[in-house]
Amino acid sequence: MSDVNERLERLMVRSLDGALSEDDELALNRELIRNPEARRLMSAYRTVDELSVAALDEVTVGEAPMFDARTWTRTGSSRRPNWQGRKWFWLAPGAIAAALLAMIIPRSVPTNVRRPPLVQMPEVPTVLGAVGSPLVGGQQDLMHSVRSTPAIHRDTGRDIIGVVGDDGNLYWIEVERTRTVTLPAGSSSRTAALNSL
Amino acid sequence: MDISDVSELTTMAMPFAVEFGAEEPVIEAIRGGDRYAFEEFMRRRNRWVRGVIFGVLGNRECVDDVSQQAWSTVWQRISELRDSRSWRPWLYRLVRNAAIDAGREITRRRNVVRPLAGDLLGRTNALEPDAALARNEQHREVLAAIQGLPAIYREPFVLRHVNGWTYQEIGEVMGLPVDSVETRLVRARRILRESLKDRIE
Repeated sequence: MSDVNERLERLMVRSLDGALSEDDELALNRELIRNPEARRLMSAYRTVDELSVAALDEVTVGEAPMFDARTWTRTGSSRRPNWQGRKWFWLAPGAIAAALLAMIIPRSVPTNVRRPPLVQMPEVPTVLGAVGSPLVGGQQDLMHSVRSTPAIHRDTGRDIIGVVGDDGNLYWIEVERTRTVTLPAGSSSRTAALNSL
Repeated sequence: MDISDVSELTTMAMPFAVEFGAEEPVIEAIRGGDRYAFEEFMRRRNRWVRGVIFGVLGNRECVDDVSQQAWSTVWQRISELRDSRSWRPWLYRLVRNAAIDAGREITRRRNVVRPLAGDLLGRTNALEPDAALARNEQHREVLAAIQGLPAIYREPFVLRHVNGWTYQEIGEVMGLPVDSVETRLVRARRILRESLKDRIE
């Protein structure tokens, strides 16, 4: 293609594409008569086009699909105002509102009230005391610190959570949690007492 | 160049350019829900749509499926077309996007699909008579060369050769100046000439 410059190549392509002006056509024809290399290239490009059209026909000529009324349903005009169509439109102000409310409302309202044991056991000697072992002095004092009945702790907390829904609305969810912990009678201090014996 | 293979092709005219603008009443009818107008539109523009899909994907195996999906989407979304005169770029974008989506899906499943496709291709070859086999072999080779073009060259090349669009029409839908369209068409032909050298010379 040494004797065919870029401009001549463009003229060839334009000619094949039917986009050549009259002046350009004259120029191209003059060059084709004069230049065998240009003729070979023009012939090659024409063949490329013909082969391509024939090959592409195999791909593009096909039956149009059948109209399927069951699945090709229209849901009405799907055009909506942009501000409604975009879910994220509400996301930013919603998130800000949620953050502000989270700061204002205490995240958790612990009542943390330690109540007296629900079950009051009579003041009876513990297992150690029942066998009549001679507990004296500090040991006996230590045993007094051992709780003889299970203690029940209740913690009540309330969380308020702001959630931006798929529909763009802001939903508040209030969660109240109560945690009940029952400590076995004298668990830790009893162990300490036993170890010291 | 094997002239005997190509002789029957030399009499083929380039496909005539689509007369844009004549479709406006049809588009209006389709927007109004006339399914028969839509079926007619599909028949008239199916080649156009398939050409766009192949131009984008460079994959003939999925043209049927993607065109089915694209037409379904056209029917469902035609109410979004504000101005029926601008149906061509609208349809082009919609079909092109459908093809791109399908291309992503194909890429995802490539490892599963490839061995199956190769197997089917081998079995098909075994059943073809010699003449048809030779012609199909030629088409396959040419299509492989077109598929091998970079997408930026393949797309305008296919639009030009399938739909017979002018540079201006191609530039309009692709958002390119006419000069760029011409440059891409020159380069596409250059690459194809090199790829098909054995068959052409």
